[in-house]
Formats: sequence, C-alpha cells, structure tokens
Amino acid sequence: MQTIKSGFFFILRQPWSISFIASLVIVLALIPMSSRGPLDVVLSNFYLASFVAIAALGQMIVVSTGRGAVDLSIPYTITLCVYVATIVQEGKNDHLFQSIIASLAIGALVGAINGFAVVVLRIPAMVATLAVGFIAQSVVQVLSSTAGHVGASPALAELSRADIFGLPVFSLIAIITCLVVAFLLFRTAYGVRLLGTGQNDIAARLAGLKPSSTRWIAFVLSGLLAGITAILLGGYSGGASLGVGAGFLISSIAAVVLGGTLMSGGQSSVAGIFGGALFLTFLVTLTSTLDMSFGLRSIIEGVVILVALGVGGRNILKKSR
Amino acid sequence: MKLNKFSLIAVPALLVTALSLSGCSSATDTAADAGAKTPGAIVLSNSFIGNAWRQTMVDDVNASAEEAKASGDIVDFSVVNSNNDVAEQISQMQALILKKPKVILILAASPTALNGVIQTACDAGIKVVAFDASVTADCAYKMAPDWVAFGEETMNVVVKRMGGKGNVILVHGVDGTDVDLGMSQGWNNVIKANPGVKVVGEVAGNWDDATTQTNVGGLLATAPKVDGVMAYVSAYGAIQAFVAAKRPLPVVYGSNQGTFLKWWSEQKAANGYDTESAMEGPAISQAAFWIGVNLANGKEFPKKLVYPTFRITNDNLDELAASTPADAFADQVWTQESVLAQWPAN
Repeated sequence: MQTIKSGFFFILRQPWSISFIASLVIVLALIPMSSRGPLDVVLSNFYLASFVAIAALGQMIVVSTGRGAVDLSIPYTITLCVYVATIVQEGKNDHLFQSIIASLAIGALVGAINGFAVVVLRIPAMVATLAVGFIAQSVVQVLSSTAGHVGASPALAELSRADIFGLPVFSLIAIITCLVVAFLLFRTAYGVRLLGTGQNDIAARLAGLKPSSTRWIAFVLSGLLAGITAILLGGYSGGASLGVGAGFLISSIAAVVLGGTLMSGGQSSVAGIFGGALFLTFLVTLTSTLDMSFGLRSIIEGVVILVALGVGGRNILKKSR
Repeated sequence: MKLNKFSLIAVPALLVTALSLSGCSSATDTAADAGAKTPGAIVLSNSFIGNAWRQTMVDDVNASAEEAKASGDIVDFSVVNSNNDVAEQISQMQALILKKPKVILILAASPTALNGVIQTACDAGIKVVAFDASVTADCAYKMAPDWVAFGEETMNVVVKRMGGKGNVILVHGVDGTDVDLGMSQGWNNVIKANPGVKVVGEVAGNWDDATTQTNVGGLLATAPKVDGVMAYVSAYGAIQAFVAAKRPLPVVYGSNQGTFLKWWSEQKAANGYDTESAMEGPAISQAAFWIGVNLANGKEFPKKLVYPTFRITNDNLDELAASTPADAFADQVWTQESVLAQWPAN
C-alpha cells in the first residue's frame, strides 16, 4: 500500500504528469459524448498526436539549450520537406528511399542555417529562425508553382493507414523516435552538454562542454525531426499542400511547455512531449465535438492551454528538483 | 528642440519637392494620354500570392493581357502583389493611382479597409473592378459568385444524394470571410429545410487539404456514421481523413482540383462513385480583366456582376481529370466574346 501511494506521488511529482492528467480529464469528458468506443477515441487521437510529438521533440531540444531559444522555423521547414519528399517520390515507390534522405537532408540543412544564424551571427533564436522560416516558405512557393503537385508514394500512403495489433505504424515510429531522443538526452555525452548548456551557459563553457557547437547541433536535430514529421505527413495527406505545416508552430511549442520542459532551458521531458501532443489533439477533438462557434472554440482552447501551463509551471505538488 | 528647428525647414522643403514632382508627373501623364487616346494601361492589385489558386489566377490574367496587348486593346498590364497585408496593399494602390492606369483590378485583402483608396482611384477617373473578395466601396464594379446561392445549390446536391436524411459534417473555409459566411448561410438554409439532416460536426478547414484532413480526422474519432460532407475546395483533404480512419466514404461535394478529380475518376472507374463538383475557378481574373478592357474603352456594366462557378459532373469528369495537373484547377477560359455574352455591356 505504502509503495503504491509513494509511487503515485512519485508520478505526480514528475514534470510531465500534468499533460497526461489533463489528457485523461479530456478523454473522460469526451467518451460519453462520443458515438465511438473509448479505444477508438484514444487511438485515433494518439495517431494525430504522433505528428505533433515528433516535431515537438525538435522544439524541445532547441528550447533545452536555454537563453529563451525557440525554433519558429519548424512549420515552414516541415512544409518545405513535405514538398521535397513528394517531388522526389513523384507519386511512385521507386524513389521512396531517396525521398526520405532528401527530406532529412533539407531539414538538417535548414537547421544548420538556423544554427549558423544563432551561433555565428549571434542573432536571437526567435528572430533568426523566423527569418530562416520565411526563406523556407518562399522556397516552397517557388517549388509549388514550378514543380506543381505530385502525389506521395503509394507505399508510404499505405503505411500511414497500417497498424500493428491496433497501434498505427506512424504512432509506433513516433514512440521509437521519442525513445531515441530520450536515449540521446539522458544516456549520451551530447545530452549532458545540451542540458548543461541550458542550465548555465558560462558554467558549461568553463566545464568544457562547448555550448556553441551544442546549440548548433540542437538546431540541426530540430530540422532533422521536422524532416521526419514531413515524411510521415506526406504519406498521411497523400501529397503536399501549402498549409501542411501551418499548425505546427503553436502546437510544437505548446506540447513542449505542457510536457514539463522548462522554457528557460536545462530541463527536458521526452515523456511529456507525447502527453502534451495528446492533450492538444484531444482538446481540438473536444471543441469540434461540442457544437460551438469557431471563435469560441479558439478562445476555449487558448484558455485551457493557459490554465494547463499555469498549473504545469507550478508542478502540482512541488518542484521535482 | 533641435528636431523642431529641423522640421521647420525640412517639412516645407519636402512639401515643395513633392508638389513639384507630382506637378511634373501629371504633366507628362497628360501628354502621354493625349498621344495614345483609347488604349490605356490596366493594373492588378493582388492581396496575396501564396497559394496555387492565386498563382493560377495571376497566370490566367497574364495570358489574357498578352492577347489584349497583341490586339491593341491595352498598352500595358502589370501585377502588384502584397503579402495579405492591408496597409501594404493600400500604399501599393496609392502608388498605382499616381501612375494613372485606365482600370485597376483589385483582389482586396479586406472588404472595407480599402474603400478609401478605391474611392480615391474612382475620383481620379480610374475604373476599379473588384473580384473574388468583395469590397463595399460603391464606385467599384464587383465580380463574385453569389455565395449564398452557391452554398444552397451545393448543399442541395449533397442532401439529395444522401436521400434527404442522415448525418453531415460541415468543413468551413477561412472563418469570417464573406465567402465562408455566405456559403455557411446557404448550407444552413438547406439544412433547416430538411429536418432529416443532422449536422454532427463543424470544423475549420481554411480551404487547405492538410488542415481539413487533420481536423476532420479528429472529429471522426468521436463522430457517428457520416453520410455527407460539405467541404468546398478542401474536399480531397476530407476524403483522405475518411480513408485514413478506414471509415466508409460518405457523399462528398467535390472541388475542381486535379487531386480530387483524379481520385474521383479512379473511384468512378472502380466502383461507379458519383458526385458533383463546382468552384469559383481562378479564371475569374480573366473575366474581370475583359470587363476592365471594355470599361477602358468606354463601355458600361452594372456594378454587380455575378460570376458563374465551373461545374463538373460524371459526364465531363474523365476528360477534365486527365487534362488537369494535380495541383491545378479544372476551369473555364474567358475571352472578350464570352465575357460580353455573359455580362452584356449597357
């Protein structure tokens, strides 16, 4: 009994617990309103949350470097990578592998440019990534008007609908990506450098943690993860469209904060990313299931996120550290 | 204090320069006008260029302009784009007015914010043709579909194909635009008249396939059996959501995009899928352009010009599906003759 109780409090004390508790509350509200089974409700939202989760992992890595760093280029990088991937695929399966490489390469390239602007040119991340994102968006407009729209590879589209024992393959990919990022953060030297840089830049430099290259790599990783998101999104929507990445700006940042990652850097929570992403998709499902005007929906979504952030920032019980 | 002294000299100096410059330019303009009397210049002020519809719209009007230049109907045509920014479009309009074209075509970023500058253009003797997005300025010619009627028409097709009853999902466009308000009103008129039809969900689709797919996908997590979907231009995104959720396909009113037409024609071949599709194609810019050419040459039209949407049924589907690239729109082509046949000049 004692161990169950202490285990319960241990979970509550984790920074990521708030996002899962909030998700649970919404699911409990959603299930009576739904005309589908509870498992159906959870699984289809889990599927939609997978895309947000992968993109938000990249955001989390950048945020973890501290000094208020955010990657505002993520939505545009995703759109660009979806275009690049589908253009290489040409609606066929022959170049699927090349398209994955191309999407990852372009994502990493955009990330490297972000890193260059932040580390070498010393432009604040918020401004630098916005500017780079604007450039990416302009490239997309050129691509979309010259290359036109070609469909995604049928095999990839097929994979987007496939599942293993009821769990969508894309969600599985998202979980694996989370595990890889968790390993990177908590079991490798780079993870130590990243969190150390985020906690205290000067101390990190004195300890020989090379904060500059750590930051640069963080942006490249964010671009890579945007590239992965893009490959899956292309399969999901069967091709590219100009608004494909648009929703990822707010959602990637909100999932990070809801998930318990400190915006000031130095503390990451990989588990919380999935909780945060789930919470956001559940919230949208809830507001569209309730019959209300669009303005009201956005207000409710905004308020709920603010409240969750306010509670999350206090960590329910007390600081885990 | 220093600033005040400076401005005491600078402001009058600037004023004098500006006045003399404007004096010069109007003098040269009248000289040019006297040289070439009837054919003038036409310009297009476009509020946004960032999507396939807008890009095709500009390509279409450029094609018509080349024709008109070759036949000597106009001397020049140019396009100015702003980035969905009202202030930017207003200042661009002001610059255009100074160039004294005969006609300004405008796709406005706001129904009301540009009224002032449109009035300025009218006062300067320039004819203004607003198309697609309406403006409320009285002096402008306004070309757009009747969105309420279009909403009713399309919803009627869906309800009829559903057998007069069942569950529908409504996918809205960009919330608050007159297009979306008008179409929603039309949809709701039909739904009210058919008590057997129940709306089981409304989502924002922003006229974008990816947004629509995600939001409909979320709704399908809780929605019961869906019999019909009204999605206007993002119909393909709505269908993808049903496919991804492995739900049976409902009646979906289509859009004229190549992606949808290709899918529709494949479904028609495979299982006889039947629907209808219509939209306001980007070639509305051509219709507005030819109206502009005729206005420049002294013809007169009613201020309100209702634009006909381009309709596709199972009968003309296959040909259009084959000829329309995935990201393009099946559309009509307007010529001087067909425009005058549709909207006879007074």
